[in-house]
Amino acid sequence: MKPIRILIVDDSATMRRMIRRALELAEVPAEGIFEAGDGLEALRFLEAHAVDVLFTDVNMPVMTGPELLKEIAAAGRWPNLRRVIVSTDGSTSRRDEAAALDVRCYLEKPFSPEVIRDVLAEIV
Amino acid sequence: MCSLKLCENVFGSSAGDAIRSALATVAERSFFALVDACDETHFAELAASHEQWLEAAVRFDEPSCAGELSCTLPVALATQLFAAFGGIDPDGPPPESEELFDLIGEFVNMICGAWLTRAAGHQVFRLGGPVVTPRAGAEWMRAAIAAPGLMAAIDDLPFVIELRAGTAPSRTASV
Repeated sequence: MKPIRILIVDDSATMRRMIRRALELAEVPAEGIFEAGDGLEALRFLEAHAVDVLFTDVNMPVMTGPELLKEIAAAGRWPNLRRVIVSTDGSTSRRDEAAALDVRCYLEKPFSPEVIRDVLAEIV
Repeated sequence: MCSLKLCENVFGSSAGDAIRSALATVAERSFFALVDACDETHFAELAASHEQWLEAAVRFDEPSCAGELSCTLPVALATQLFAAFGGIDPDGPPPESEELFDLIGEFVNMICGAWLTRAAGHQVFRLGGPVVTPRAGAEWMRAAIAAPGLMAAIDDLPFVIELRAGTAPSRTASV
């Protein structure tokens, strides 16, 4: 796997740390791991920086994960951005909603570093 | 799924086992902690030496079914979970209160999400933001023991989960 640039979007600093740690434990070759506290902050980051993979929570203040994904789809500027949802909500309805938003993978919390490594191996 | 059946799945007789299973999954997978069953007597023994506690609650609702899942644990366990989660030396400087509250809020959020996915995986529940409240003193501990909750020991430290049915709206908008 070539080095990738990853953006983690979650309003919880703990969850951002958890995903970052899982990426490190899985020895994912990352050129950079960046963080945003909500969808709007993520959108602004994407407008200014290259990102290969986006991990986003669902429920966040200011702009939710689904709202962020709709904005990304509408903008059409990031066709190669791989989108992954990370959520405690594993309901089938939520998964169906994610599939309609061009999400490549739906990660249910909690997850192990091995799972995150397998996901990246599949989508990158 | 009809609302009666949904609420039966969420609050019915199997809820205790489903919540216990969700707790074990979250504790072991993300916090490297072991969960054991615990009766009232053993819980009281484990709890006796702890004065500072935290209560973390998450509301969940969808149009026909709502409630709240809350967890109560001593600050010592919260600190231990924080260290395990972050790969931090447990004997190092203690975390800031804000960090501890964020972590315990996420811990409860994950338990609630894992349980609801198993209990009612076809429904989309709206989860409120976790509300974490410090509790102190022996009186609080006695109330925790008296509550009709699910008692457990996590790495030999006391832990209680309570499930309450209710229809009030979420206190906060998001997680």
